[in-house]
Amino acid sequence: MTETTPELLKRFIEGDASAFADLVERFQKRVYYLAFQMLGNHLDADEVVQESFVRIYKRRKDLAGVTNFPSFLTRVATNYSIDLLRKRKGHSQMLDDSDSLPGEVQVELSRKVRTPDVQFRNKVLMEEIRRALATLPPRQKITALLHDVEGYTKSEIADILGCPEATVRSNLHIARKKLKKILEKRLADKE
Amino acid sequence: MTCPYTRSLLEDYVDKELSSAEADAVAMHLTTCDACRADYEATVKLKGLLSRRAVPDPHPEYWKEVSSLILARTVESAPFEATDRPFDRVRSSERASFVKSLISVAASLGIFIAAISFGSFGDKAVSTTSTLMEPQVLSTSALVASAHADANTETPLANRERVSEAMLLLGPPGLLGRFPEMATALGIE
Repeated sequence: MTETTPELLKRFIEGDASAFADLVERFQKRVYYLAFQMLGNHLDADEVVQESFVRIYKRRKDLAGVTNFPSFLTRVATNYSIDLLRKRKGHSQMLDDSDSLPGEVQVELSRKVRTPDVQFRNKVLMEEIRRALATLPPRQKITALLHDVEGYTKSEIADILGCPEATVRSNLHIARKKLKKILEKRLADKE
Repeated sequence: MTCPYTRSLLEDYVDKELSSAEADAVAMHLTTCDACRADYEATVKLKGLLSRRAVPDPHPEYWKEVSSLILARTVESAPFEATDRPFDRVRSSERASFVKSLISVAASLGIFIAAISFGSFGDKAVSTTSTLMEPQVLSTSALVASAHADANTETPLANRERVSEAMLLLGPPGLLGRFPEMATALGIE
């Protein structure tokens, strides 16, 4: 019979190392995908996965009061991602600048790489969204991703980010407004 | 319902967080207002685009590798122990606190000895205050007077006491002065 997360957590707090290994196995994918959404590359996502679990391990004595472990883990991963986003801000801006290619070059590239049309268009679209998201401040970006991609409610996000729900609401509104402005043409597309 | 009011509820409408009455009112307004409907459609589309963002799967072996790395890092940083000691750091901090207490005990002992040593000078200064005020009288005139008295008459008791006080000043200072046995043992008379 599969153990529930609270049972695993209890064993982990009591000092059972195998329970920690089970928690890692159970939640590492969730942390990786969330971190990848926020940071946009494998190396950073990998760093977030490792660091989040190591931090949790080190703070295991404080976990006794944790009622919702996935939410707690998301909070740890999100906070570390925000730190990384702030640290990498200059670097990612530089990458974005060098990545920006004029439309005709992209079309030319699509011919050379022989990617099917739809697949290529999707790739370009995703790249546009990634760049639009990269322009947002860390907290707005993470709020938008947690809400619209991961499906967390505003009150859950408030809990994860440690801020009032009104702040989440405001950050989400501002993030969407900026994204709509950047992706105006794409959003007006009737396709 | 006005446009500004509809716009203020639009995101909650998209997120399905409005009461049914409010949702009906927004829906009604959207059927009649092109600008608000365009905004609504853009919000819905944006949400759809964001949720479609795909994360490329890492290599299948990655999950095993990252698990092993995490476990190795945690074992290095703080292995589990049967005695409920979460970290090695606890041991080193215990060692550090033991050394600190040892140093503080040694320092206290040093201060105590120094206090005794200085205290012996202090005592003398207090006990001989009256004589120290007139050092010449103590060291020379008192002795000369008592010697002269010895030669001629019987020494009065008060004079003898003054002489013995004066002799104390000539004896070894500090601890040796305070503990004459120690002075004797060291051969200092």
